[in-house]
Amino acid sequence: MRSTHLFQPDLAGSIHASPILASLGSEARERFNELGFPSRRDEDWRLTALTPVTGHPFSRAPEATTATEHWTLPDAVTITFVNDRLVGGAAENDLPAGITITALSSAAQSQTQLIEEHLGRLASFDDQPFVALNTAQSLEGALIHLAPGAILDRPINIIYATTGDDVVTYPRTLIVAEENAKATVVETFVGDGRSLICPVTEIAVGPSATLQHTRLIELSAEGSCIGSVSATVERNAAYRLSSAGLGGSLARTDIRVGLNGKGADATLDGLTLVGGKGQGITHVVVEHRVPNCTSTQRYRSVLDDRSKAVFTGCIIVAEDAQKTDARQSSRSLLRSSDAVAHNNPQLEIYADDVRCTHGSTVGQLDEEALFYLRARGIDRLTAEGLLTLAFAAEVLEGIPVEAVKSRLEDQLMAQLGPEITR
Amino acid sequence: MLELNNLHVAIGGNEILKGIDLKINAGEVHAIMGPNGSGKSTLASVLAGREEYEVTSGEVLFQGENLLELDAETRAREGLFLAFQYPVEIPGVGNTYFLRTALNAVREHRGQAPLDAMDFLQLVKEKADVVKLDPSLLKRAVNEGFSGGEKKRNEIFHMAVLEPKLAILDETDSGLDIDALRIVSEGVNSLRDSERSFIVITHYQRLLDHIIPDFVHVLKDGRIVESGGRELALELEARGYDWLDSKAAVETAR
Ligand SMILES: Nc1ncnc2c1ncn2[C@@H]1O[C@H](COP(=O)(O)OP(=O)(O)OP(=O)(O)O)[C@@H](O)[C@H]1O
Ligand SMILES: [Mg+2]
Repeated sequence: MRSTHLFQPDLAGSIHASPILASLGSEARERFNELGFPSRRDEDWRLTALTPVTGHPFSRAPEATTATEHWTLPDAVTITFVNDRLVGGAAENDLPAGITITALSSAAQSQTQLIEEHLGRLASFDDQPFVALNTAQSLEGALIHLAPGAILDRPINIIYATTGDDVVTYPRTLIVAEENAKATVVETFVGDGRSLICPVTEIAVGPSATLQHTRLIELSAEGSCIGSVSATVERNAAYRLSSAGLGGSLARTDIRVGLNGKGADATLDGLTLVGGKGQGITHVVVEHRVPNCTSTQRYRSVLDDRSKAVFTGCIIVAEDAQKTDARQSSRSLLRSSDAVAHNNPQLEIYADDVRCTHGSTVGQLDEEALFYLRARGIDRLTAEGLLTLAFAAEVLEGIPVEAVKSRLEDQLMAQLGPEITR
Repeated sequence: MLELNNLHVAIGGNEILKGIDLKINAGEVHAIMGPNGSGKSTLASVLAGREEYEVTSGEVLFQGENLLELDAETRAREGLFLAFQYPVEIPGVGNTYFLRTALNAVREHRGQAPLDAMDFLQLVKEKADVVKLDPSLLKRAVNEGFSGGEKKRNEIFHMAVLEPKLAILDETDSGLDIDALRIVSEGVNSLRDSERSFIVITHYQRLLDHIIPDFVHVLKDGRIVESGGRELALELEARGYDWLDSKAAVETAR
């Protein structure tokens, strides 16, 4: 066994009551045993220092004994999990016909077909150790199902809180939007101590459906999160992801999107804010599998102190995926000379009639602009905060829910500068 | 209001201002003219608090206080305003939002309560009118994509909102068309009063037909080589700067 690691996931015995989850779990368990934790020899993990995770004796989070404090999106349909246990929201919600929000543990009994069809099929654990780990361990999470044509005006807020020190949680979300369905889902992952969150989110966007997805990761300075998002997008459907990661010792997200039907679109935005010795790492793979699809990746990272940010964005265009339009931009703002940013665009293009653009920059705060702001009476910290917000603006503007956007702006300002009177 | 005594300024070991003496009383308008590269913008930047410049000797008193001890933001809050020769584009920061943050910082410093959104918008509307600023520029990011003339107008608009005690206008006239020059000048004139002083840096006598200065100084190679009334500007327009060389040489020889 990997005795060099202090983090030894407890994989013994089945913890799933339902036969579907149990057999999936044991498959994943076997795979994880073969894969083990990634090492720096794996190209995909070369720039990720995993010690905050593997070098710490995490164990499954016990049921929380005290209520946790966390932000809840106003006017949303909410479902809340604390330490991998449902604490509220699923049944109470008054939803329009065709929309269900269920805890996975009960969905395994009541919505077996959906689970069998999708769970573990979208997020591959074959080559992703942390997905294997999540699949082997996951007890709980949310299943959101939108029947054909179902439209929800209010956003859905799934909250996964992890509380306590030295604990690990494995949140799992499955979202299935059938033809012409439309919804907005905000996932929030909150960790309050020296904890590790290993979430997996699987998404199927059916023909002509629209799914707006926001992921907020809020960690304490010692918290870590290693998560993945896997989505498939069918004909004329749209998948819009905005992710924001604030703080943490290690926050890594792997995003894989497959454009499966003509006219499918994926718009992927991300904002990472790292400080201290933190690492903010994002790997994106967008696969254009058929002709006439569009994709956009826009990633921004803001680095303080001695932190590190990595963005690796891969665009794969299959041989017959002609008329692909794929764009990618990644920009990093170094607010300290000790911080390091890596932006790695990767293109694998097998078709000839395509339009792929990519650009990446690493820069500092503009001294001229800083002086201009200060010469009008704005103090340096606030001026730096304003310029940083401006840097993040493009990604913030793309966030579909106003309350999420303003909360993020406030959090950014709170971390970056003193309060600004609005 | 402002007093410069033997001010020497260098950048990267290069001396640019070589001993400037200047006294500006409340209510006065001083024009500074002089050839390209003579140090006019350097003087303006040093007064505004740009940190790259090194003051190697001399002193600057602003309202009796040592100005050089204050950082840029404090100078602005104390009532010093610089209209930039090259206003900076700041994508992502809204013009109005920026100005409100600035105004409230200045007000706080003066012990005044922040203006609420309604009062602020009223003020902005009023002041934008003074310089006939296109209202759409208020909704855009600071100076982003503004034309040369729009940027200059925006500077004077900021000045009108912030109501400084000493305003330094660095070539605010360059890039303005004839009508804009008149409008911006009227804006400046409307702010003239016995308590407020101006330093107007320009290459053109034309501006001084609109903003009538009390004094005109010629800055050449880091020194003020000539001072006079507004008629000096006319003489410069007619004769250029060369004659001042020989005059200065004669004076030094004496
Ligand atoms: N940051 C700097 N680094 C190096 N040299 C500088 C710097 N700033 C100014 N200088 C030099 O100092 C001299 C004075 O420049 P300044 O901009 O003050 O001139 P100016 O009188 O405003 O000219 P203009 O009429 O063209 O605007 C020039 O020779 C310029 O190259
Ligand atoms: Mg100049």
